[in-house]
Amino acid sequence: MRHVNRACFAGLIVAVFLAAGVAGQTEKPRGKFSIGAGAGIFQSLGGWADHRYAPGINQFTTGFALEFIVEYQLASWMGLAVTGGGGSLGTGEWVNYAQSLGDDITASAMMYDFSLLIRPYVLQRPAHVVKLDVGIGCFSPRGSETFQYFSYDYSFLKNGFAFVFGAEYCWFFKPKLALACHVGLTYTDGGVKYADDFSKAVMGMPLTIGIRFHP
Amino acid sequence: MDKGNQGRLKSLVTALKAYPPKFYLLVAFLFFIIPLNVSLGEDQATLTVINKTGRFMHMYVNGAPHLYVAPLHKVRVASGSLTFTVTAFYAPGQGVSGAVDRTFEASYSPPPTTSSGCWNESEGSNAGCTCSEATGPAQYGDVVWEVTADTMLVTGR
Repeated sequence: MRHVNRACFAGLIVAVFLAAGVAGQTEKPRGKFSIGAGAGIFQSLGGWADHRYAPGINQFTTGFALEFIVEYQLASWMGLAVTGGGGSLGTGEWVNYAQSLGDDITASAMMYDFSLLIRPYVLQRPAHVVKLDVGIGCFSPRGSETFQYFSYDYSFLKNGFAFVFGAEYCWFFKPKLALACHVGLTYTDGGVKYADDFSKAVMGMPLTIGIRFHP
Repeated sequence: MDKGNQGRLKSLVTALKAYPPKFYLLVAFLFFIIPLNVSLGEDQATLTVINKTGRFMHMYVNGAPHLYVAPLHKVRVASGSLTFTVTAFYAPGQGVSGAVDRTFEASYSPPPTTSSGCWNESEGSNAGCTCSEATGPAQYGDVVWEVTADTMLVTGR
């Protein structure tokens, strides 16, 4: 996964310089400080959510996501943001599969994330703002399962350093209040690691709709 | 960035430059090297459990879970204690059920020592005083357990 990590770093640098080049063509941005919240879904990407041995079964599926964001405008063309959030990961597909084979199990999974983002502003109009996200963070999946009289945490889900990318569109229906649509992409190398050292990178796409407020 | 923030950044850089390079080396040692200095070595007993059941297994070793151990793969655990308590069971969703519990005691040999005379403060001489000095490390045993299908007890499903 070394080449993927290098590509992520390159993407961070390129996106920042691209937006800086666009900045000269945009209008003066509104207020420096904003806070926001949103809700939506978290979609797992790639094969990390595939079950270890159940053929064609996803152990983790699309789940609910919440996000909170605090942003400060550092320059006319970019802001710095801190985001945090979490949500559930679906486990129904795996539970149903195990039960179909006679094994009565229950399972649940959650994920939490925290990130620091640089947000180049690629479009700034009175009512419409488009921002990109490039940054780093921490992704923390959690889960547990109960089978017969055994109850165990999903110790193969690991906290990990994450690369974060994304984009946000804000529609200011009031001067200081916007409806925001935010899509992201997180990549965590080694977010899944089993007891026999088999590991997988974790990728996910949060998609949320929320509110941004500039006090 | 406004002038106020630039001034604060300059102050921070100036303050950081005041520390010599050795200080940062020490910080790096404390935060990175010490935590990495964990080894399955001579001062710990080890247990290796090999999955030879042909199915994926979950295991508890001294209460810690080790999940989705693939067939022919192993789990290796080190412990300061000589006792290993293992519970191994078939992971769900494979159409079979079974579990087994085992407790293992690793061997232990104390460190070899030599005896010599030493000074007895209360007597003011070296009479009636013996000192022992270790001449090597203690030896801890390695336990290996191969779990096979016929060691698994069928559990209720």
